[in-house]
Amino acid sequence: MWVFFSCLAIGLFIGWRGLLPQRLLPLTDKVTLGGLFLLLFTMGAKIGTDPVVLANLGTLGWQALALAAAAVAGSVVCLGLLEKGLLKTLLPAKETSR
Amino acid sequence: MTGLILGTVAAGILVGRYLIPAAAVGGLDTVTSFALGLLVLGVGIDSGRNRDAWSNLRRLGGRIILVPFAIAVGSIVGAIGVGLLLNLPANEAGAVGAGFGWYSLSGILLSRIYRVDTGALAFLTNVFREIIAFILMPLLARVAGKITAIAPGGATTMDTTLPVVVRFVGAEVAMIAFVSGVLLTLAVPVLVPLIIGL
Repeated sequence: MWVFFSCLAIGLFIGWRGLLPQRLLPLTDKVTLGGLFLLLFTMGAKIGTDPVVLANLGTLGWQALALAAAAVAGSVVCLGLLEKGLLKTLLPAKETSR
Repeated sequence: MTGLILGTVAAGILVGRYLIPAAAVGGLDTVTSFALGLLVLGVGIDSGRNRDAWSNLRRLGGRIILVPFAIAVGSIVGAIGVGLLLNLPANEAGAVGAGFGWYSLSGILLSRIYRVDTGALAFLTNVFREIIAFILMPLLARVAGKITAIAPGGATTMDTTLPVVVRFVGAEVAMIAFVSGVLLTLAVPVLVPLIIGL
């Protein structure tokens, strides 16, 4: 976990102080995107190497999809209400408007 | 982008199923840690450059806690609601929903303290949540508020889906998303055992 937080802290420091030369900035996009797809791939690999998950993929898959969709929908509705009501006045209009 | 995301996960499943020997499974975690480090380094650079990211966080102050709270309540209530339709006991559906996208921990926790099949369900549900978040957050950023757009990410907005927030929602909400993700991540090991025990 400390590796994770150090990487983030180093990144924040580099960005905050503008230590990265302008011409290298597009590189951060590529690095994050590369890391992202590597993570998606290992997520799939973890499913593929887990015999219990793999064996139940057919039966549990649809239930899991429904539960995930419902959890996402519930959180979007709750946070949407909160942002409309309480938080609206807190952020500048350009960021909360459509 | 959606096809690329699903294709990458599918490729991972096939490689995991047919190519990765059981002895090398532990190595997957090393790869995950490496990818995460790389990811947050890039995200840090982007967020550090954006001064609005910090001023928005300061403006919210202590009220930031309401953001993960709303996400938590919505996730758990939503999961219990659909669980009723699927004939799942409320404690199981609620605990699965309280994984907030952290599939590895919620899956392992429920396998150990409850039942292996519920653990597998939590694992898959939260994998799907992360995939849905990748796809849905950029769309939500266009039709809803910028804070609302981070809701699908749940606990993952502190790491895996943070670059999606920075790139597609806006770097000015990156710090809010990060703090919300950290608080939800801390809540998972507390809420999952609590809800399954009800």
